[in-house]
Amino acid sequence: MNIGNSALTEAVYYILLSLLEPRHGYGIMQFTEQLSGGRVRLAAGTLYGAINTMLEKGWIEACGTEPNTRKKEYVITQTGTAVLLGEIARLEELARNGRQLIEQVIRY
Amino acid sequence: MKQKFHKWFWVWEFEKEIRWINDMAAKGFGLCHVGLCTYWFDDIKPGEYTYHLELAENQPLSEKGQEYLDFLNECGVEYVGNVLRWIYLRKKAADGPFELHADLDSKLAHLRRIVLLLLPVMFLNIWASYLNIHHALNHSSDGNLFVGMMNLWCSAMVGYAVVRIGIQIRRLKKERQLHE
Repeated sequence: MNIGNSALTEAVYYILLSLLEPRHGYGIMQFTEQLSGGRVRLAAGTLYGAINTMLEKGWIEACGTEPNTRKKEYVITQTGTAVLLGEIARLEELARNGRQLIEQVIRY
Repeated sequence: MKQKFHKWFWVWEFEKEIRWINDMAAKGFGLCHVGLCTYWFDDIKPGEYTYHLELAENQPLSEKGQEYLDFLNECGVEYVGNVLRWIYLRKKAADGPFELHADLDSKLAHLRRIVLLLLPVMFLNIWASYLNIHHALNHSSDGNLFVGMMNLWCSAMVGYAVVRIGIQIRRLKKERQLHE
């Protein structure tokens, strides 16, 4: 499968963004909510499934536990970063095309 | 003070079941333990907890199942109890809305898990009813006829559940063509 062409889900996109720094599950939820201004609230079940799938695919990896709470932490891998960059390029294309066409139509 | 209730819900009524548990929580009865058709409630502040019910991928006692419960616990979700793979969970209402599967893909995966649980039960009952009724007709055994009819009734009920959930799956799939 060409990972560059298929869209990521919003949850996966925000999880990858959150894991540019090591974070545990709850940290990912909090960061995502904060980053999206409260719009995206990751559901715990969805998050758990997504983390496991991304671990299998090697997009993220476990990087130990937080010293105080012993919660498992994860961080993005090189593959994950490449996936994220591909997705950002795709999103930019979508936004660019949308904006251009709408502007053209409104102008005429 | 702990109170015990007996109540029966069909498998496809899991949404009705959790609505009932949440209605009880709103009245100050917090589910604290579950068994087959049995519910134990403890006194809580009315509306202190929001409850959720889910068919987990793994048995709560297995390593994978425990890992999932630990993860949920980190996210502020408390495990209340289980009946087989059905797990009962709660979260402090003050911590915001409680959703386990917010996106369509994980909702679909959950419904498919339920269908996969029901299908073998249905086929097993169809097969058992065939054997029993066949035996009853050849040996004019009323006992076998009765059991066979019960099996047939069970498979019809489970079949009905599968169709109901199938309809939900189709509706979500349609939705999935438009958005996540």
